[in-house]
Amino acid sequence: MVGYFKVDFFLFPVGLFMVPDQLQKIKDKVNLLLVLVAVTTSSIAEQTYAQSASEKGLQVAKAVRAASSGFDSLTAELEMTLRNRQGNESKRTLRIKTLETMGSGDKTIFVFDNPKDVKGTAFLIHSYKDKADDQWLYLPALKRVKRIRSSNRSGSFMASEFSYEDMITPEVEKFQHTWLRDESCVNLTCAVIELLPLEKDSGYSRQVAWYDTDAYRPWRVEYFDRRNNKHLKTLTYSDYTHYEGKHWRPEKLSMVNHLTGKSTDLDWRNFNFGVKLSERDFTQTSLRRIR
Amino acid sequence: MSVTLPKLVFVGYGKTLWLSVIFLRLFAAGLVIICAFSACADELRSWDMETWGTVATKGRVFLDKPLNRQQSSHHAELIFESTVHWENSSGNSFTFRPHIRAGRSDANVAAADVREAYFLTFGNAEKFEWEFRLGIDQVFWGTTESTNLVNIVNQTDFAADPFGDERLGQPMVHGTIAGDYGILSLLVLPYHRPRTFPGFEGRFRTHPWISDRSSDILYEHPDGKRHVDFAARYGTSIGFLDFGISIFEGTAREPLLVLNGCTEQQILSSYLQDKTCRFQQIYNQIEQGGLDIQVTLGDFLGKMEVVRRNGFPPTGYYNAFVVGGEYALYNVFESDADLTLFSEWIHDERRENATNTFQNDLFMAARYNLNDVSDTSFTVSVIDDLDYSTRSLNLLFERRLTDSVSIDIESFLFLKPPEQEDQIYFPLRDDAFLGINLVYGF
Repeated sequence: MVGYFKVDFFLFPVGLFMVPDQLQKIKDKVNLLLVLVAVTTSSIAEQTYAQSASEKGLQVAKAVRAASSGFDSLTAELEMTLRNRQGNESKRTLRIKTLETMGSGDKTIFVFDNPKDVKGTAFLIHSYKDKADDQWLYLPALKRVKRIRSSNRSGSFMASEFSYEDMITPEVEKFQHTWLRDESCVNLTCAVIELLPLEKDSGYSRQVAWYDTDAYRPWRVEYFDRRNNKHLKTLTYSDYTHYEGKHWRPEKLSMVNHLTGKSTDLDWRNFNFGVKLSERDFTQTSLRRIR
Repeated sequence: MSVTLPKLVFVGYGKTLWLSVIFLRLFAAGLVIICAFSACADELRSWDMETWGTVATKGRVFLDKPLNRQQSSHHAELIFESTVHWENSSGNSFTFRPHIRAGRSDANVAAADVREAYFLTFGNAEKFEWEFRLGIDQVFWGTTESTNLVNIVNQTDFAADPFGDERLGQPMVHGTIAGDYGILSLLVLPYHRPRTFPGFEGRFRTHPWISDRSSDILYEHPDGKRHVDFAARYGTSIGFLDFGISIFEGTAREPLLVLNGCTEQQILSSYLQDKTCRFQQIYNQIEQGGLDIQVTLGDFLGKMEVVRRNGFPPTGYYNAFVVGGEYALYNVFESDADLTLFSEWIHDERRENATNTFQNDLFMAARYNLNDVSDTSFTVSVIDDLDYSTRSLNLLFERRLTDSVSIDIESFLFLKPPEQEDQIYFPLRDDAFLGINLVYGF
């Protein structure tokens, strides 16, 4: 644990000085920086430990990303159940389309079906590995496509306990990873990885995630508040289903906010990995065709 | 097979006839649906059909006595709007969206319009995607919030919304190609829809009233409403900058108003109670060049729209622009709420001769979004006239009551009443109101 805190302390300022187009370069320099920092401030033993912890962290993160990708494109339906402290429920349903693109990040469209006053409203997100995402909002009543700011990543998605940044698959390049330990979880062995967000508009100071070393599936993520580094939320994944013999997907995600006592469940349905989508399905023109 | 809509549907009607008009128009809408099912029956039946829509009630109580005692003291309206969408496996679709209103506070409240009825097909070529739409559709151009100067394709439906947020369906042939270099849209608009206004008994109207009798709607071009208009827009994004260049050539959407049936002296001396004293609408042939810009920089959006219009007397042309932006503050007061601040300056070179309320105005607004389960939000907006002393205030509270019912409460007030020189706002000086709207979605 001592070693982990040292790494945390040394790497955290790197994230604060990050400018988007420097991310790639800095990523390459991180190891070098670590060595320099370690050599000048730590013992040889600690240096080896820090190096291996961050390398192992990145290695696991890449394995997790690889395990969840490789689907080209998929569509799915999602039911969100919002629960307040008293247990009162409220539901939202939406449809999702995602496209993996080589090189740049994923492209995603969310279309809302319920509640009825937002029926047909759609979000288009182009995520990038090396810069802030682009987002567009489609308002069906006016047939207006509006480019919206992507700086609200920490904002609540549809008043749920999920924020916008929780709703899209995180790009490996947008975090600094550190392996903390291996421990048993849900009858498997899990690697516990700490993720430090490199983007300054993230709502979190850090995340701690549990991935099984079997198929590199996420089982649990703890989110820590950007403002005070307190444990804010916990996300648990369950009901994993194997699609087409290669894609593991959790059909249930449950986010609990420890500060407010509120929680949100995501129930995924009708995963379809067989659809053939292209970049043309994720343009402003195609957003106008959404219903 | 083609079905001609009964001529009767489109003729003018009196206040007492509103119910039969609704039925007639429903009948016409029904015919369109039957056509869809018989002519293209076999094909359409194999397509997936989906239906959704809203039923809304709109109620307004005006706080002051009307200028003209024949104008209503309140406003009540029932609005039905539904979308029926057929789509086949390759994505070709037909969309039908009727809009039907009932109400009797003035003759123009009750109305029916086909907001959308179009066939859509699209595809990919090697370097670009293409899209083709044929029928009645809605096209939105613009970036700003207070008004959208470049947004010329669809006619404004002021009878449906005095603030101009509703648009009439526009018949069009609309082709789009989009690729890495941007989006190019070409439109042929074969039919002109005259602007709608509140009727003689309605509030939010000019004095005298704007007549919508077909004999009072005049066209500069001999082809009249059948003149074929053209419009095009090219838009693209370069990093944080989005911009569009648009052109339009054809019949103006904004009419020139010409006094008829009385003299200017008569209007100034007394507000005429007589329907014969009226404004006629004249639609000139115009050319419009437009530019719309948005820059997206973190929490700030910068926006601008500029138009130049040719074909307007007396100078022949004029320029107008809106420039401003919005800035968002997240998690204000240590809560999930966000606060968005808007400010825009609207300027029309015609100044006192401008035919809309935005001749030289400052628009400022704040929207406080609670981001709660009910999507509660408060919006305050002020329009400050920089030429005259007029200052108006809009308040809006919105909240969802259940999954399918939402409510909004709105109010329009004058912080500084308009003076006589402000020819457009002055007749509205007694039109402050408090309104409650309920919307049921299905």
